[in-house]
Amino acid sequence: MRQAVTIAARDLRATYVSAFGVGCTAAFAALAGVLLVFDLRGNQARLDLWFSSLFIALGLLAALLAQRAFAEEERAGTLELLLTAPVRFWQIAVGKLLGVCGVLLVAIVATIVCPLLVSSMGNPDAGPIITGYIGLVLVGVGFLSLGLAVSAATPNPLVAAAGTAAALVALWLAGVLAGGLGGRLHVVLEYLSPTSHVTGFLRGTLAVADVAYFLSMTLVGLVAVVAVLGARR
Amino acid sequence: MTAGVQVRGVSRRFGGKAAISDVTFDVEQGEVLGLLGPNGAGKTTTMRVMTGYLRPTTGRVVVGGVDLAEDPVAARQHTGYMPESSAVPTEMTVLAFLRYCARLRRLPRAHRQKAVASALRQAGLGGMADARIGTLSKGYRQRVALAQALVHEPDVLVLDEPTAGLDPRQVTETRELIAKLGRTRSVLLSSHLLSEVANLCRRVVVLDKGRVLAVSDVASLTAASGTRLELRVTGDPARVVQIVTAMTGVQEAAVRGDMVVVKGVGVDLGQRVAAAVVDAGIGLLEQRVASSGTLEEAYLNLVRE
Repeated sequence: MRQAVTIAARDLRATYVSAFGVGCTAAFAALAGVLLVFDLRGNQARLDLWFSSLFIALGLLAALLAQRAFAEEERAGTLELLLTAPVRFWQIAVGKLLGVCGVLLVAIVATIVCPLLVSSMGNPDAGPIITGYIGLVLVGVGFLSLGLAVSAATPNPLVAAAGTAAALVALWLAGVLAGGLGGRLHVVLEYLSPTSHVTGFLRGTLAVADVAYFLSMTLVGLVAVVAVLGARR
Repeated sequence: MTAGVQVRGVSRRFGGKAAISDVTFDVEQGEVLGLLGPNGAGKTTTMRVMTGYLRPTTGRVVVGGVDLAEDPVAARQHTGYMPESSAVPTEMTVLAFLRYCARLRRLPRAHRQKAVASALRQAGLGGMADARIGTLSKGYRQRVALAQALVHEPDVLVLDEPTAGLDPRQVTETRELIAKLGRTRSVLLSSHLLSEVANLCRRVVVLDKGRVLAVSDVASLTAASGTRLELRVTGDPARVVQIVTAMTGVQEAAVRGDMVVVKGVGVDLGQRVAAAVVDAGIGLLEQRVASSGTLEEAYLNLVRE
């Protein structure tokens, strides 16, 4: 685990030494501010629409952050040093995930000014805000984990970002398709879609099924990273 | 001498094409082994298989007594690898990068500072510790790449073109360092510079089109490539040509002006030719070696076949 933390610390530092990390964080915080203007319901201190929009924005952020983890490093030529070090693939996978999650957390924390602003003007219900932020973290980590698997599979950062976005769109589409179908297929597709699992966070509830979904997504992504790293050898 | 690395029947295919086939050699402890071959011969693929970056399609690699397939982490712990690209992260300082590498390679905290200082010194980066790698010249970045291969004091060093892109002074210093390291460790070195391999390596592996053409010591390889002798005699030069042509190892003999030029192979060729001329009662005024077999000739002869 120590080596995973070493990799994470190095990646986090590298992200914020460059303009990329600061830029991503600032852009996400700015987007959150713009979304707040559009998503606040008239005269109501509610942030459910705002969180809803942020969940979608997380997909974009995940695609941008994940492409750096492996694809960008391979393009720069430094991935070979990491893959020939005495480190297990799962340590690399966890380390890379922790690194991008660090950036994710900073970006999410930067949006706290929005609910604070709303709180200063009204009396919003704290419960949905807390579960909303827990949801942002769970959703973000799950999306990042999937993005890492795509990033590990290609040496091209652009393809990695596009592939991550495509994978997330595919999951979202599963929910759309589920609406037009019945029976078991409807149940399966609805379960696969992240959309059906964020509703609880918006309402102020932390359902075990919803938490388990995003933790499972994270685990699947990590397993996929290990499998891809093994297969590329 | 125990082998630091044993490569046995290693092949690696990419799709339907074999990049290397049935490669077998040892790198002994306390030697620098040269890996030679034209572009696309499979040198980098061989090194990548030895360091675990690529899995062999068939065959096995044993590093420091550890089978790479059975325990890749332990095997890589014995290995210091400097890839051909020598790419190092540009946003880090030299010191931060080497500390990161030391942690990654499981060096105990108590030894890290000393190990990093030693790697900096050996790679000639003494005054560069706080420099950001992105601000360094290519030559110094190459030294950083070498330093990261040394930081955990591995038994085995795999160096892919370690002097490419360095200035002459840096090339000399790097070669001296490699020679020093080779006294106690197993070093596999690939280079396009045959003179470098000839100076540093006692043995070489010659690869072409993914196959091993020769595993030999440099002296035998160069002796087999041929020697050119020029003789001045008091007697009939044509008689000398007749005598030497019949000798074992002589490939060609001809009169050129007032000299007899003899081409042949064998470490004792000059001695035998001189003895044969004198035994025939012909006065030998002068015999000189116009050119002895070079590694370049031996290498070119091998890859042409």
